[in-house]
Amino acid sequence: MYAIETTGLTHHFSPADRVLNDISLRVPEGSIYGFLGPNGAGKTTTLRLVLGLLRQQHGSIEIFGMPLRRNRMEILRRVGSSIESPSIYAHLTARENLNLWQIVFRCPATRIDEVLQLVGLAHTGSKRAGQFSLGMKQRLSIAVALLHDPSLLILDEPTNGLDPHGILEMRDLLIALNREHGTTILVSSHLLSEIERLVTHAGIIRRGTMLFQGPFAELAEKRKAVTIIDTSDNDRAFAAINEAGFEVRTEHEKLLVPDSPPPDISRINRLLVERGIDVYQIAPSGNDLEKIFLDLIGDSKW
Amino acid sequence: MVMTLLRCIRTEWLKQKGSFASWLVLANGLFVPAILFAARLRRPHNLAALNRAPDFWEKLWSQMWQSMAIMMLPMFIILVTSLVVQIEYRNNTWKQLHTSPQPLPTIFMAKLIVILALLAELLVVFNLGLYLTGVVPGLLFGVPAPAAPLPYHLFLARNVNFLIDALPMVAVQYLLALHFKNFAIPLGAGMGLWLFAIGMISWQYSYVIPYTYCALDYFAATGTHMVKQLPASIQTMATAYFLLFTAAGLVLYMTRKERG
Repeated sequence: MYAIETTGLTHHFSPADRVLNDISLRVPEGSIYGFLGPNGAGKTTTLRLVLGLLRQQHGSIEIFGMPLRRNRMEILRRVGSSIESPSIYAHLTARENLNLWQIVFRCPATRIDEVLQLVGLAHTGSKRAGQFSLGMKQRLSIAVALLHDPSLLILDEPTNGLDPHGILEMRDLLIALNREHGTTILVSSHLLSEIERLVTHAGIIRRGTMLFQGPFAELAEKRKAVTIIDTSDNDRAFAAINEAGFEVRTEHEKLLVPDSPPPDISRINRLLVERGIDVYQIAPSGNDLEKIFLDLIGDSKW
Repeated sequence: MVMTLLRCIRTEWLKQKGSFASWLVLANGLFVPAILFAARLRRPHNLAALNRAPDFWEKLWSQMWQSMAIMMLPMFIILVTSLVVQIEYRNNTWKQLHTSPQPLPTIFMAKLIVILALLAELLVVFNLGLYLTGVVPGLLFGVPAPAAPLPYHLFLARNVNFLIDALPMVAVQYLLALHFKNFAIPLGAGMGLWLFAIGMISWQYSYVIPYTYCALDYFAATGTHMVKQLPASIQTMATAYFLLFTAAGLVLYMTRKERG
């Protein structure tokens, strides 16, 4: 069962400017889904469509198994969101801001203190939200999203403006919400490192097209270690390694062989030297998740 | 449905707390009374004669409403509608509002009702200012209170009429303020329409311009009929325009491509 399921979502702001292309987002219920992509990839546009902030052009959106178009009220009652920059009334205090939404969502007034405590803004008293730092505004925005104890939380770049400590706190808070309350969380980011220890599922988008979607473990599986080999003549080296029965491929003008035990590496080295090929580099690949992500979005410098 | 609307009105009203719109009610409502009050304090020797006049309240009403009907009330409507709507644009909160479980027509109506409530509040403040301007200067200088009784019913009826006369302006300004993110557009358009209306006030068909109704009604109440023959009462035309522009505003609001 998916908390969010979009099919063939396509969107353009002008006929020549297609920002989303056939997006099929599938956020399993109870998951923490990391929606990743570089700036301008289409993350926010997708989230705005999912929340009904943009008029749907092509495709369908179902939330909690219900079409968004026909069940907007029922769905929004169970969704908390924070999209782009914080949405708060600058002339009101944190408590007054929350009071507005407490009336709208008809949740108990005690929730205001609970969420203020949860996001660390209980001490702000009569200070107006306009005087808050960006990090505090971000926290208040998240407090608004959490106020009615939603089943689905949609957060667009929630760590913007937070210091490293705040980012850790945010991560712990989201994990706790997911584990203790079963809240499904969709969180977007342009940095994999920010969410890799948070998410159970991931989707990677670039230029409006989904490049990967699935359990995060599947993405992590791509983290297969390889050995990079660079020589004075990589074509001859490729043939020699291949003839010796090793799996080898070329990438970025270097040779890659699957992670092998030291005796095999030693054998490859000896083989190349014996054939008069100078070996410049034999090194394990730094093929971490960030690199996989960068490779997927085509931004790898390596 | 009604409860949702009431809750929405309550939140919209709370948003105005401490905002510029709430200060504007006081500033605009007390501006004309303060000037006349000060003028009376400067010439205390005239107070006794003024207060003895049998048409004391009529004259005071006419003096005060001249500026109010022609200038202050239109200015207030142009500013306050923009301010109420700009709260969402300025704070980047349309998206939060539109992802809350409130039907779009409810949000639209709640904001409109708050604008109308602020307009009613302005009239209350203004009338209070009018009463104090009539009574307090005499008290300060030991002059007997105005001899003429306060014509409550007449004043109330005229206030209701002005409130209705102002409705088309509210609807047009609300439509513009909702549609344009840039504060300058509804403000500029409103000022332009108001100046155009004032310029055309003596035209025989000036009643087709909805921004003329407060001025036309003021002149009619003081015995000057700028338009010889009206196709219907000013209030009927104002109500029709209000319904038309409110419906247009609602359609535009509901069919927006982007909601934050």
